[in-house]
Amino acid sequence: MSDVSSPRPGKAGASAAAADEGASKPVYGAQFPPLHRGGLAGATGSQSGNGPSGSSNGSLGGSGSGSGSGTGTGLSGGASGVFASVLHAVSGATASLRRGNTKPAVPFDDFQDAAWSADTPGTRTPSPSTTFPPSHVNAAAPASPGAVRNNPPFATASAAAGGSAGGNASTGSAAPPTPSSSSASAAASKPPSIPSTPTARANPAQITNPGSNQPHASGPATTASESDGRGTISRQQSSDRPPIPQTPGKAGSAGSQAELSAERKAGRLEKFRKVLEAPNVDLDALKKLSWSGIPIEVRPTTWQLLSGYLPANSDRRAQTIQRKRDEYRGFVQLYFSEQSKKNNQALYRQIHIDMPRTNPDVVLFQSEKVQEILERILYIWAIRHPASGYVQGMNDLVTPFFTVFLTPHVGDADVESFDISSLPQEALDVIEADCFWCLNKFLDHIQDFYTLAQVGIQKQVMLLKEVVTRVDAPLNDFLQSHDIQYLQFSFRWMNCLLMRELPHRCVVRMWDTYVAEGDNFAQLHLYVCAAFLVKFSKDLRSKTDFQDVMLFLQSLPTNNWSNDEMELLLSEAFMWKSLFHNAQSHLAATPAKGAVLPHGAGMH
Amino acid sequence: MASYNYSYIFKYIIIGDMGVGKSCLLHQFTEKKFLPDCPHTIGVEFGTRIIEVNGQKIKLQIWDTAGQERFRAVTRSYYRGAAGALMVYDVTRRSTYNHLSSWLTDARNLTNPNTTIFLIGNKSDLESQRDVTYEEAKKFADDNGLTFLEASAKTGANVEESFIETAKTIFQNIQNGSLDLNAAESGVQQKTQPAPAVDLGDKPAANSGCGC
Repeated sequence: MSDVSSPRPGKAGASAAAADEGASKPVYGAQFPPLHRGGLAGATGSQSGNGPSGSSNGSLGGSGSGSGSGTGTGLSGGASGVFASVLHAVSGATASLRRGNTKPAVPFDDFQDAAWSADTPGTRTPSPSTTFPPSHVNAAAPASPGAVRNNPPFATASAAAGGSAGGNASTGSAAPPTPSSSSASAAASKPPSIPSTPTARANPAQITNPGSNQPHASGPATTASESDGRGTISRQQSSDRPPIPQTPGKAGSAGSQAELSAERKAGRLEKFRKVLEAPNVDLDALKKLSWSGIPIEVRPTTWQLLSGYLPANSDRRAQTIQRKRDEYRGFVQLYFSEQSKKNNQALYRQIHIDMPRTNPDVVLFQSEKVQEILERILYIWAIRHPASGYVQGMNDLVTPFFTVFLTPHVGDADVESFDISSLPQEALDVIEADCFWCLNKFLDHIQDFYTLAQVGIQKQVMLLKEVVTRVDAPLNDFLQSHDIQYLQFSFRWMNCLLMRELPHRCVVRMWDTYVAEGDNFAQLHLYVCAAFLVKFSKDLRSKTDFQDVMLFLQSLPTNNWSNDEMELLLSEAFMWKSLFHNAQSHLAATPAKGAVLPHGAGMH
Repeated sequence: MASYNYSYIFKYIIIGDMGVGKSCLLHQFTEKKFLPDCPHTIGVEFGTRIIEVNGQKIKLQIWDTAGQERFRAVTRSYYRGAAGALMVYDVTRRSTYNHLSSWLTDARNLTNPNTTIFLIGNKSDLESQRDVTYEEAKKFADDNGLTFLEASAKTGANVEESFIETAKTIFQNIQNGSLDLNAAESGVQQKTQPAPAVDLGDKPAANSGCGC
């Protein structure tokens, strides 16, 4: 039932979803529009312990509970119909997102979360449906109780989970269609209404999470007891929930809520610590946690673990990292010699003159010493990767690693304006080596962005247009009517991974998710770019001529952005990715044919 | 800025080696500001300004291209349909001057035959570090039929002139018929309403949009 080879949730978008829906296929056509019915059915299921149909309906809302029964059937059968309606749902959802400038953070987070959990059991089930209109939030809730029926011990847990998702599992899920969305927004507006539960729930979650997060997780055997996939799922959902209120919590924590927010933060940190302190870190659990943001205290370690730089096994860690750092020191001697610089004069000079032009907005990078460090890292990387060499913009890509790895050394100071001359050389050497290796891993995933003709980027740009056409046709039409080419504005979004468009702190948050995505982050990035563009749809469409649009696109107003905006963006991206990834035929249906490429093929 | 008021749109590209100051020239021209250490251009960047030539308001749409070789595949697509190409080198770095012939080949091959190519020797304020003489570059320009100026994005010297001279040449080509406005890639758009000749009065804002 689980696709062990699938490295990451969300990967198999379409087909998996179709497979998942297989069970409920006959119902499907009818099911979609009256989505809430699914939710209700699920609700019933939850109470009466009703059959699979209830739960697989619920699976719409994100639980993979149906996947067990549904797997394998109707793989392609219901797909097109399903997606047609899904697409409508999507544009509807986006449209409403854009209209109401409200923060659907919770629904999205729920989607994200729901999708995660949906994925997990069947792995290949980011049920596209999962993600949509707030009603799903409800749908998600009932799903778990339904699923849990065989596993009474967990019923409470999942009810709690549902509670955080849909407002209230037992009552919320029974809500009639229209109110459902309001109940979702209620959840959105008052996540704090689940006071200390996050922490409380965090712990049981902690226990169940690792194994259930990913079917292929070799995590602690705590899950062994529930060989029943459904049980796993339900618990998983419960474990998924805690992070949810977190996000909006941060957003909504005005004054009086600060305490709660702090508490939640602490709970979250605790969860990370638990995972990180394990003798053998469960990387899947860590990924899952990290997707929604990594607490600053554990960010360096987490990034290094997720990058594959730090071994998951704590026994080997010190030794490995020492070896790597020594190895890098060797590189410096070998490649950064005067002779080498002479032999590669053009390359060296180019990097050398580029360094002062790195991120002028951040004081830290104006320091000559920092620039020297970046210069060495990039030069050595370029020498070792002759196929791409150094491409402008890569210098931007080192900066998040640098600030994050520097953070533990700055105390309470602001890392972005920290003066590194106060640090001992050994500390700087360590930071430098760590940055190098992590950058190295990171760039490995997007090599074709930077090799000749930058084919990887060109593909991404084409796909961006297709996705936008799907999720916001009016915007695409608008851009087209003003002769704006996607390449004109989004090339840089790809080449610098949006680093030129977002404040540094937001980039760091975004990278929490990207390192969690691992080798698939480029795919997610495509959808992040789509969400980013669509975010400004209204502003853009109010412009009247080419130059206004172009100038606006070149400096989108993100200066005041915080994690909230980023998280919304990421959730939205995740949702669209679940929908479209591996569902290329949907993109293929758009005008720009030929641009459809096996997505991901170029990513490796 | 509220109401646009122009008779023509001219499309420009700025090309040349990395670090010669293409983006700084554009900034100086559009915003009258010099940004030392401005981040390098990735792909292309866009800038615009309205100028006046022979009493005609002309809107310049300027594409500033990235200088790094790796971006060439992308930047080349911007040559097509450019009415003016500003080809920039750095007077303090001979290598950037030596590469001009390859830039010129690109420009000639990828733009239309009537594209006005203007040569700019940037960083003329750094006299003490000069590596390329005015005379030498002037000869290169004459041999290749280019207009030439030395300029400084830092002080602003000749920046204005370079952009405006280019527009004047284009405008002349329109007047004498050598530039066919109806050609698909002339890089020039005339406003749909016939523009009253040398009319300084305000015209209604053009909402008709404009391509590139």
